[in-house]
Amino acid sequence: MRYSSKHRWRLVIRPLWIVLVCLFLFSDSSFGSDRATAFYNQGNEKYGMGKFKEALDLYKQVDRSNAYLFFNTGNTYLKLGQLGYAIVYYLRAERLRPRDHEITSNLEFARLLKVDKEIKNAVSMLNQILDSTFRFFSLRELFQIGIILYLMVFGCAFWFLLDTSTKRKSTAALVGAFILFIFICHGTVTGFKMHDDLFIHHAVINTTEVNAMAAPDRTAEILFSFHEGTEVVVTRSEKDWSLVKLATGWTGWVPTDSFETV
Amino acid sequence: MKKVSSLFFGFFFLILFLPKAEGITVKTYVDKKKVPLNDKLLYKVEISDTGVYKVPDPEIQAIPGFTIAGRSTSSNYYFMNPEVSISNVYSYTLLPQQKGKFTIPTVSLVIDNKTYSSQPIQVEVTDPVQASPPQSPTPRRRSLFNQLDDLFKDRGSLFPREKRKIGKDDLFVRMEVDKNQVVVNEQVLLTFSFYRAIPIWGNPTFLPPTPTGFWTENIPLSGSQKDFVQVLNGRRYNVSVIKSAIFPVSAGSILINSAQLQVQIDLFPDSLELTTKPILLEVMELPVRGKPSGFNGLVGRYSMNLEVDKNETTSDQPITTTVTVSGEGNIKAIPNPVKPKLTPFDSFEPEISETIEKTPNGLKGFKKFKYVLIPRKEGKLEIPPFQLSFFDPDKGRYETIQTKPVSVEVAKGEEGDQAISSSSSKRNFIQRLRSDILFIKPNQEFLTDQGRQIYQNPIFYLLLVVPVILLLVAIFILRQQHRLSTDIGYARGQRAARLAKQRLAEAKEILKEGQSTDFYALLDIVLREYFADKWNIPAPSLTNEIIELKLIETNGTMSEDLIGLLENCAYARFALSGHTETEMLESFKKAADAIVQLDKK
Repeated sequence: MRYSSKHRWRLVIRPLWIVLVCLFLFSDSSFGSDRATAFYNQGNEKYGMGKFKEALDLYKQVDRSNAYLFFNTGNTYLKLGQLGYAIVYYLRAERLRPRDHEITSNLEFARLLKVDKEIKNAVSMLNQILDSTFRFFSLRELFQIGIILYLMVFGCAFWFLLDTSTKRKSTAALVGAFILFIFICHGTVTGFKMHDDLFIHHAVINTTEVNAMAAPDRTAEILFSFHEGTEVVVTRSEKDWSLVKLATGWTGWVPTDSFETV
Repeated sequence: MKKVSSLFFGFFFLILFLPKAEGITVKTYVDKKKVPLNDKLLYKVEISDTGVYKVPDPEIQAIPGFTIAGRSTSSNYYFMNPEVSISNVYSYTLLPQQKGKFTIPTVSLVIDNKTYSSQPIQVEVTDPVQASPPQSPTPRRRSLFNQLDDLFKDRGSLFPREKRKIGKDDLFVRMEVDKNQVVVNEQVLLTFSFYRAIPIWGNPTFLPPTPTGFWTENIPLSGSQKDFVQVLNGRRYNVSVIKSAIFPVSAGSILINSAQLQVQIDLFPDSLELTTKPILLEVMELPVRGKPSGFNGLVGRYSMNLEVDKNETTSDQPITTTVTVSGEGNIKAIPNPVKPKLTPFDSFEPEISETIEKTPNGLKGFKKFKYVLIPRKEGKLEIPPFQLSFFDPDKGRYETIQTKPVSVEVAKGEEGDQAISSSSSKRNFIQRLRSDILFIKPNQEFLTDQGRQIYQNPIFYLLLVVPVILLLVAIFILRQQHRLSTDIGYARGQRAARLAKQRLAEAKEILKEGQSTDFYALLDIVLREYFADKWNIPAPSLTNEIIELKLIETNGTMSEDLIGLLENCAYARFALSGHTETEMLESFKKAADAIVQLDKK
């Protein structure tokens, strides 16, 4: 008699949860029309025939964010000799599928084709660890993991409340605390990645050569010049000009149409 | 004569050493330029580096103004790697005869059919100096020093009776620069020299100048560059030199402040401080006219050449190209030469090494830039010239130097992925070089949209909030249960009305059956149990009086009615006559209402 109410909601809520979680974690999209898929497949065919211009036109008609699509578009741009756009698309693909070796490989290849060589800055150990955790998961995956950890924490809370044995209660508390700790760490990494994906505007130069000026003015002093394919961060934008920052830390104003944001 | 002949024999032994006719020098010097009338002057003739040649006796007969009181000879051996050089010193003790200025004439010697002459020396004879009174208060007692002094009287005082004044000529320091007007980054040689003609104690302390706005490189000196003997103005000095190369960083009139040397003379505890005069250096900006576009501030004289480690290679093998910039100036400041367009190659940041030589004339050396070039296509490829611009301060103009272009033949390499390691580079240059990118991703049944982020999905927020709500609900429920199981009064109170109602329902059934005794019995129980539960009093101890009191407490009006009802029930239970249905119904209603009323509170 006493446990009847508890049993009731346990029986109802649990399966409901599982259904909800599955539904939303593993569903990737809203089911749209198949036209987009058709364009993609047709684009692939054109690429296989060596008709890169036509392939590109087809790929660009797909209004979806898809790693495979971006990768193929990047390949096509590279074949057409547009290094800047190629790198942009590879970077977009990498954001969605960070552990895909083909994407990483072609991106590396494209970076080697740049006129300006990359300077590898000395990075501290901590930065390296953060960086690799960063790059390992996509933002979506981080959220998925986050939700699971979050629910696990609550699971432990319920376990703690409902278990009668004090020994098991303390185990529940311990496990819960541990998962909470991981959740917080995870949350931090997710926060960083969110910040990077959403607020830091990464871009790639898509003109053969561009001059970085001291001020947003064509007649201003040229600080340095660099070439297509250089990855930059756009810190400010004012109409036709934008202030960009290079990996070396140098900043300068460049025309806004000389780069493409990732 | 005897002495001279013994010297002769000494010289024959020296035949073993290499003769150096050219090295012969004849130097003459005195121990002081101003001599009091009652003092003595030491005059020395030094003949050095004679090797095997017969050295004649200077045979000084007379010197105007002086009488020759004594003479001695000594040989000094100088060890200068790898040779030994010998010099002979003839010392004459001269006693001045009268006051005035006198010239000690030149000394000429003929060695190996060549004549060597010394410089004449000017000396001045001054008034006689009074002997200072003895130091100790009791003049009778002769101190040990004074006794020793008497012993060494003829040889010159070991411990001078009067405190000898250190003249300006005895010790001095000098600081010099090799040029006073330079441009930015031009090398300036700063030389500090310490001249001493009298002995000093221990090692002096050197405080170098600290000019700001210079890049300084110390030049280590050794041997005769560092310590040598120089005769200046008739006196013989031991000279020690400290040299550094300094490069001004910015333009303007820059002062190189004094250098200081702290020297200890004899046993006196105070040290003498010698300072140099500060030096003003005019540093000019590099001229604007004629400045080449690739100029990066380099000043000096340089040359550049380029070398490849192989002229023929395959398309997967790298070529190491070394560009060497050598010359004089601040080698460390040599910038990377301007790289030409190396489009037929993949090139990386160069590996830089430098070799600096610090000579007494300044810095020189070379800097090597090693470039690893990987050919991107086959055929005859050309490495265009590398360029470097610098300003030559001696010529006063900019110079641009270039390497000569080099051609390399690139044959077809092996197909497929190959691990290439650059053997000459310290860094890990293992690169998988394919000739092309990987192929596109395959066709899809359905192209999913991966763009929609989780936080745009409303279910996300649902999943966030729902567990919280459920948790709160669970906590509440558990608390409730806990309370029910521990707090009896509370439990009973919650239960009271419910139980009462259940029982009333039962009573109703009995009513219908017409069992009045049973009915009233049950009704009684209902009411009593209800009150007992509600007020958490054990049922048996609940008397009518208590009920009445409690009722008055909680609800004044009802007490009389309810007590009446209870008494009625009590009677009716044991009554023999039955009650009518309406009567029972009335009682029932009363009881039900009462419970409802009481429960409201």
